[in-house]
Amino acid sequence: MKLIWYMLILLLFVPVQSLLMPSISLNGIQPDLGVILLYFIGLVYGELDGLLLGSLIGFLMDLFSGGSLGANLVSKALVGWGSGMIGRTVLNVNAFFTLGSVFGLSLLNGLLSFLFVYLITGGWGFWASFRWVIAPEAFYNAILATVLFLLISRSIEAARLKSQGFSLP
Amino acid sequence: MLRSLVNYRHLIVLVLFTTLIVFLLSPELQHRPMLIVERPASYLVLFFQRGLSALAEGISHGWSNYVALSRVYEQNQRMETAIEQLKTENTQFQEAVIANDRLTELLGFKQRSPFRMTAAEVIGRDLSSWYRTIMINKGEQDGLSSNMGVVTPSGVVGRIVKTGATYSHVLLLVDPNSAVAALIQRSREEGIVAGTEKGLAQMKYLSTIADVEVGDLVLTSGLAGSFPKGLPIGKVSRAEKKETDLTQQVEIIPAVDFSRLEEVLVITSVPF
Repeated sequence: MKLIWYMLILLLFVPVQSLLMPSISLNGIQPDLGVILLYFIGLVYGELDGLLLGSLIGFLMDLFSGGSLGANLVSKALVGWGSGMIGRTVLNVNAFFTLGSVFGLSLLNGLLSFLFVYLITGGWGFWASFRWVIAPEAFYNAILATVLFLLISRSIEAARLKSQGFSLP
Repeated sequence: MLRSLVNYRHLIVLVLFTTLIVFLLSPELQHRPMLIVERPASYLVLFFQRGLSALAEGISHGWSNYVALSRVYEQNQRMETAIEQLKTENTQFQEAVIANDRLTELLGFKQRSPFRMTAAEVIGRDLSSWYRTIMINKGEQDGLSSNMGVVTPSGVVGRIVKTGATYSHVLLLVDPNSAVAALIQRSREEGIVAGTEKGLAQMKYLSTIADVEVGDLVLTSGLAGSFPKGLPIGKVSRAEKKETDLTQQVEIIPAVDFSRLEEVLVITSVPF
């Protein structure tokens, strides 16, 4: 069942990110659905699932973006891995925690992406990138993930407990 | 043996992952990213992309019809179903007229132009905020290749940077990595137009003594292969000279509204 969900996520991710996310972009910055998805997947299913799905999502993003291979592959894999670590070590995940975690993970994603973009194409300066892309995208991702968390927090908690061998009373 | 492998599975995955990255980052793959994976993956994902694109268009049309119907309902609750039907048809007709006008303009521009062009539809935008690109529904099968210029009747859109069998990625003029050879129409001063991190365009390499004024029209100079001479790029919105700088800071408002791109023309051959 989990595998079918993962396949569906992989098939629908590119169309949703490239068609729907630009329509809710603010000042040219669109939320990164990859980071938000990987946060929830890592939180529930752990580092390994986060890492593997992160690298697949990242690979697809690189393949269907105008840039070179690598930036999203590495950053998304590490975001997935990081989310898994958060899920394994933190007991009570709430909205504020989600806000902070997704903001931090988005900053990590942005900084790694910048490093790759800078090394391969070189068109961006660091402070301009931070001001115009990394920070606004991190804010946007964090807010969207928190809203999503508030909507599905009970399902997330149930899935977390189930994946760790417990069940909700 | 199996148990010890299971115990070290995190480490094994991490090592495999690092090896994969090193493999994928090799320069040869950067030029042609894993054809074996790319082709089937692109066919599969593009199938869903086209489906969702059509669905989004349908929802958008449905929504505008709904809005139109709601207004009619508020204005006259006793209006007959037949009239509502006519209103809906009228909305659809107007949408068709607008699309027709847009395509006629595109076709007229294509026929007037002395160079060969291929029309394409925009089917997506870049997945990340790092690149300002669009995806179009024509690729190598239609004779498109990297570095071909992309335009609309309003002006320059960008150039193709990556092609697949049935799709291409177009790097927009407003991307910091884009570069188009340009000139100021009034004073014939030459420079390079590139994007900025803010998503605007700027003209680079204009010396401090170059004659540039706000409102000047910027055109392609035809010096670099992708675009013929004389296509509109935009208008100068700010020109700033600093005593310490060797060049001027010239900001440009692009002639094309990149947020509303629906159809574009790819220049497949440029006359010299």
